[in-house]
Amino acid sequence: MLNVKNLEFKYRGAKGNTLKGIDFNIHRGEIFGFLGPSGSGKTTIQKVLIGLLKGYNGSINVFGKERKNIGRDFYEKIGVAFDFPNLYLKLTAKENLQLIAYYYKKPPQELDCLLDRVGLLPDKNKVVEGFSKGMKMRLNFIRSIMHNPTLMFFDEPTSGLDPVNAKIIKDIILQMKSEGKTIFLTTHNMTIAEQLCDRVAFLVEGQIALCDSPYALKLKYGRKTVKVDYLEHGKKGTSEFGLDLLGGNQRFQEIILDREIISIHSQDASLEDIFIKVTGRELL
Amino acid sequence: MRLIGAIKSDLRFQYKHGFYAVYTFITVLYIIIMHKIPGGLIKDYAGALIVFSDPAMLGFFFIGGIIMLEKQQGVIDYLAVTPLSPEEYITAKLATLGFLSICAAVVITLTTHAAGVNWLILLLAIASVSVFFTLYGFLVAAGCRTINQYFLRMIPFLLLIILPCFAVLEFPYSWVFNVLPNVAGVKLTIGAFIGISWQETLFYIIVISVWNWAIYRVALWVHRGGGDHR
Repeated sequence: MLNVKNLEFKYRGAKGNTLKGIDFNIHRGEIFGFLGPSGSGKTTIQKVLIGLLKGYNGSINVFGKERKNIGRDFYEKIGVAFDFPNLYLKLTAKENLQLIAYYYKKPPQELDCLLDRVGLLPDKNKVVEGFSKGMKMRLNFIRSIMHNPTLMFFDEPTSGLDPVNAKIIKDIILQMKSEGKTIFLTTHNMTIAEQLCDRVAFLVEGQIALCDSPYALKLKYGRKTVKVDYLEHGKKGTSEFGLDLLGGNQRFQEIILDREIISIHSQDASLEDIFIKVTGRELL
Repeated sequence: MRLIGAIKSDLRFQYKHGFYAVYTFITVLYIIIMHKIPGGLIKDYAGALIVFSDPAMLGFFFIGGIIMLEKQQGVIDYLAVTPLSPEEYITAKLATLGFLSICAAVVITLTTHAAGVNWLILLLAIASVSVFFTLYGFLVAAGCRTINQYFLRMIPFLLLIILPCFAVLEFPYSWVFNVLPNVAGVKLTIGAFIGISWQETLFYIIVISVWNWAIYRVALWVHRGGGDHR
């Protein structure tokens, strides 16, 4: 679906390259996450891929063609939601969708259904100017998918959303994946990446530091131990055991059988821990 | 068809932002002023200058406002990732603002000059000059980030376009200015009110058309980001 080889990009007037030889590929039906702190080049790579920034070096092969050789029809097949809501403020929610729908060959999905899905149906005839940031972000999101694209680029899609609405957006993204759509997601939110992405790439100073599935990364970088919290004679105790031959560990069995267990957790590394460990930098 | 969609979209955007309400008010004001001016050659010249300096030039003022509003709302960034091409984006703006210019010019002229106006020449003049001024304003607004920045930058560009129009006063070598689109436009508009030869009409229309073609190419280039970002 999308193959990127040795991608380099330099802004006019900049001293060095912002993207420094990036390689990755995204398969059809995959959610691929680009993670990194602010200024790492996440937004730049998205802008280069969608054609907003021109003049790259290297190769971007998308839909079987080199990106720079694809015309405006490219935008019939992709959907883009930026990390800030860019909407017609004086128009209503539905008018915002209708006006953009004019630009596509394919008729849009049922707009009322889409608005309903993200909880905006009661507000469809209200002017967007009065919307909260969360409402604008939801409208921004459905506008990017209303023409049924096959490849989507989402930049911080749950930014500014409360947990309930963030879950609605995550569910829609997972549903699109189940329909075979491909999703390129840039975020600095490790929880979102862990919940949604099949694979993630860590971007630091314009280079990919690591690329794998969240599960594989957690296995590789996590401690292979289990931590048990329990009550012993009314006092809280904590013990940590290696996972190897855990069933034969006498102390572990004693705690499990004789103590009141408060919690048991395997000591997986979080993506954030891994990021810090690999790059030596924090996600801000 | 995307262009039709873009025109509908621009009409709604301009209506919702009050551009048409403002211009209706201005048009009524001009009609009142024109009715105060006595008839004859003075009224013909006044009519021509009003129609040229405002309805024909409104694209210059309005396009800046439109572009700045689109920039502030971020809509211009989003349009770049839709199938709408730069050609369609610019053409829709030329069509909607050109239509507004023509409507305003026709209403002012109809209500103040019932007879003696060459409508074909007037419509050609307004349409072609409106294209030029809209594209000129588009270029001025292109590099601005705020409305205030646009207003500041607009002043020298406006003077640059207005000053050569004094060539209508016929001073030595003033004919040299006839190859400028603004001078050609004002002479064509005056000609629609007081009479003009077909040779002059043809010459001025060719001059404005050549300029329009050139400035359209530049506007497209600028809208695409001035070519390479590297």
